[in-house]
Amino acid sequence: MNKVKNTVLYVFSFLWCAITLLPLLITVLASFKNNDEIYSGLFSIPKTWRFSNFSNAAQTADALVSIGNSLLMAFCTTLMVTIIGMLASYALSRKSFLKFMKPLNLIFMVGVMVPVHCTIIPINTIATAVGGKDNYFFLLLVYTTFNLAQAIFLYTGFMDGIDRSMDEAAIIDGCGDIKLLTSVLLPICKPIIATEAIFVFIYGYSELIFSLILISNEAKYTVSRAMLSFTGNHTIDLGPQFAFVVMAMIPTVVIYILFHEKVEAGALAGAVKG
Amino acid sequence: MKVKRKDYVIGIAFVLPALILILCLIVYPVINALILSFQTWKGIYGTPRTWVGLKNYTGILSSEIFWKSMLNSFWFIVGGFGVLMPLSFGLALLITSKLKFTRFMKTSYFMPVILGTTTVALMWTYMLNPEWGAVAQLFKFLHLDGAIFDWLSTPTLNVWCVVLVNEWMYAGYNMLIFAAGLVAIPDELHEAAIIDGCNGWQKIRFVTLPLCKNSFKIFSILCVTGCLKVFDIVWAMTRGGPNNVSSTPAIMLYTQAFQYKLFGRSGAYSIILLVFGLILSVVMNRVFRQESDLYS
Amino acid sequence: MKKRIFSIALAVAMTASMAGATVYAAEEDFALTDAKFEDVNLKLYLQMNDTANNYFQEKIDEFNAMDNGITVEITNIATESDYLDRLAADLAGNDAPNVFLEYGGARVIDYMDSDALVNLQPYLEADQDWYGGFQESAWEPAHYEDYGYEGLYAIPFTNYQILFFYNQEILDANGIAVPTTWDELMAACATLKEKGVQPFIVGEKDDYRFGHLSTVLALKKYGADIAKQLGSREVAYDGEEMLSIYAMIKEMIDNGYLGDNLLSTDANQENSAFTNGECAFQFQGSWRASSLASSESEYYANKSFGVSRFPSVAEEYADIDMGGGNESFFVWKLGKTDEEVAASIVLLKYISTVDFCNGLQAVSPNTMAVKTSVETDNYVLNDIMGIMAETKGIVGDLQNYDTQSHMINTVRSALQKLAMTEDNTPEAVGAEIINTMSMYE
Repeated sequence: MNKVKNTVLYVFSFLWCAITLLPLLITVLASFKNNDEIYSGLFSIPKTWRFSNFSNAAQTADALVSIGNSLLMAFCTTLMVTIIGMLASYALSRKSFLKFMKPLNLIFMVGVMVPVHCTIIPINTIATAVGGKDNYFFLLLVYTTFNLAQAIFLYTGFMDGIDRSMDEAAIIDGCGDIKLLTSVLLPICKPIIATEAIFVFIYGYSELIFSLILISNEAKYTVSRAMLSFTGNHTIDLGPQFAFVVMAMIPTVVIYILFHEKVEAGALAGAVKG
Repeated sequence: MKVKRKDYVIGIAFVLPALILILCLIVYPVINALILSFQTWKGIYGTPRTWVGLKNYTGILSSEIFWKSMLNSFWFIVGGFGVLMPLSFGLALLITSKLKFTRFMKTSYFMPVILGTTTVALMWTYMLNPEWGAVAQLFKFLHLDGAIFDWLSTPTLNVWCVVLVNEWMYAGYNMLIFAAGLVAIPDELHEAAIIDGCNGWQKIRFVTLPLCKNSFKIFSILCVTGCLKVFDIVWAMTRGGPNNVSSTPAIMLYTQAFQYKLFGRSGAYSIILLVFGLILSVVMNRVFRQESDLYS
Repeated sequence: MKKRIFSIALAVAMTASMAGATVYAAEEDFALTDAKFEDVNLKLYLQMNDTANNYFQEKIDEFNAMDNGITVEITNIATESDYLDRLAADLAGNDAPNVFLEYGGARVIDYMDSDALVNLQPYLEADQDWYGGFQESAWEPAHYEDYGYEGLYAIPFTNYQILFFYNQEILDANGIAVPTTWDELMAACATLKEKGVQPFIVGEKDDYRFGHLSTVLALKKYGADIAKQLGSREVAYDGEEMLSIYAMIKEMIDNGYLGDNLLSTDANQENSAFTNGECAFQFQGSWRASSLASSESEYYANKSFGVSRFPSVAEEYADIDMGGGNESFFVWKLGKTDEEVAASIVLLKYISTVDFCNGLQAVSPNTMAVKTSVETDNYVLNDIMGIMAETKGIVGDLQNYDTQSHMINTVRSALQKLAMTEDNTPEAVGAEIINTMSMYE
């Protein structure tokens, strides 16, 4: 019985693997083709392997620089969101008896729901006023803010689910708020932090609209911004664009695998301890 | 319980950085949109804005296209609960199970998100091409020739195509949210359930599901708010077309401002969206609170 | 020395007079010969492909190195919708560029109404060499008399015309001559269709395709005046005249002349289909010359691609075509100092010299508004320039002459109905346009 069930599960899970890996296959194949070959068949093997697409892409989009910039933005945003978000969530969850926490929840909820396009012009006006144009630090603040609301929502939800008896034990042991957060709650929250960190990382790595509006200097282009360079006069060169997608995704995949592996091990250990 | 001064200090200090950022970069723009929604403005800095009262709101609420776009968002919500939720929870069970190769699965399930909306949308629009797309080929192979037509330009059907692509893409993402909840369930509870003679389904029904209620609540609120403001995937696949039939409210608020230069009307769209979102999230909070009362 | 009206600080003035240079100082100095400035920073917004952008960067670096006190910073965004997003955000967010590319017409009428654009006429008239250097037909986007604004408000950059491209090899194989009239075109399409060859493949997912087609057909049928008649509502969008234009497109769709799945084909796929020889004809702008050349297509190498004027509908309007100034440079003045405006003119003069445009055309072939003298080995481009030289009347998108700036989007979006499966009659298109117009009143 168990064997049958496992077989069914394996079949399903590999089927799903197959259809989620399809785009990867198509992207890699397309990165060696030209437009005509891409349009004539997604799965066809390219007749000639155009390795030149990669050198074209690296040159047109200044791949090393833009990928480096994106990595920097992604790392910093993740760090900021995690720290600021955890602090706020701790207050929202563990100090919820304070009267002003309720309306704050509502404000953060607005942050989860706000459609990005209605904020662009006011943010651009602020950026102009404070010298935030072409400024990574300002961009970092924007990225952080747009992830904070959801992060706080997730962290608070998760923390609310953690048994308070653990807090009380720690407080009796003489833990202050900071100690309670860093050495008791933080380890338990690792899975949700890791999950959110991955979302934030990908956002920071591939965000387009704000980097488009706020950055002008080509040396500061991020991946998505650099990707626009493949468009010409009413045409798009898809081959090099896909080649660039392949190059740009490598760091994310590597980080995702390494990071998730690490955190998961830690999280499981934490759960056992708890 | 007596509130100590220290609690105030810590509460304020911890929440302050996040609050400042959200007030400056989100709440201020929202207030700006609120004011704009009662005005007309062509989007040129330094030019006067004229007050028009509720004209933007009445204009939107009486237009057919707004309700059409709301309906499209509603289809996204239906798809979110009917397809995405069971799918991503199932995937979360798989990758946290004792099966082999979970590491490989986890990476591949998440791959569409890593590749990004543009690539995914491009691939699926080609896959769904009625002439040479892979889906049409499959239908031909199954002798379903009658079902092959231009899906992405047929009203309503094209929205459902985008909905399904959206669920396919974000299944891996929401899987991680559910997985985070699942790994937090202590092993002892599972063992206890097995000792009590629960089979696999019963274990999920009576142990896993109740303990994951929090994850479901998080998912529900994120899903509803996300569906209301859905933009990227629709824009990339159909651009809201043909002739606006696949528009969502977020696409409308974008085109009104950036293409039609009707910033007042766009502001009114934002406010309507936010109000809808707030109402729905309050409703959902209630639903989940009542359920927790039932359990306890 | 020119007289100084501005109260430039004494020290600055002394330094300048000691250097013996002409400092930009006078409001009525429109010639701006050898004008010099005190550290003026300008922002220039471009929407260029990578090659053209690199050329601009290089040339602007040279400009910045000149001793005129102007420093220019380029922001280039190659994709049109993203470019327009950035432009809209900066115009609304108090960070307007000094000089930017746009297509003119109704698209910029909101800026005209806000008195935000500089009238360039006095500057052009003060420098006849500069004024005379442009093709006559390219000035269209600079004129706003119909809206009540005298003057010239743009410097045209590229010039275009919608043309009829064909694949000679396919025509020969099917015994068809290049059609010159609408009836010949319909007959040719019918013959091709019979022989199993696709006449056109149109990527109507990009709704500018039918936008262009409807404009071309209306011009060919009713002449250049139709643009103003539509703008003044003398001719209605749901009137008989326009309905017959929609019906012409509908007829082509119903006969399968334009392809099978128009709404899921985009313009990029359309281009690829034509260069691959999957269809015999394509109507496209003159910019198509450069992408034909870079397509690696054998047909291009064999010189099989031909180009001619779009087939005539009414004979008397055979030489009236869609086209004119395409991208043009506009100078923003709201919130800018007089010095910045003057420096912007100096920059514009620099990027519209024959030398500058020759150099650009050499690396990125296109039809330019400036009369260039570059020899190109792109045979399609040479033919195009020949045809354009003989065009008698040139008109842009019909909606560019409208008083309502949303019309171009409204009409293009409504025309997509023709290719849908339901509610796809010409009357439905007309009704949709009128309905949307009432929404924006």
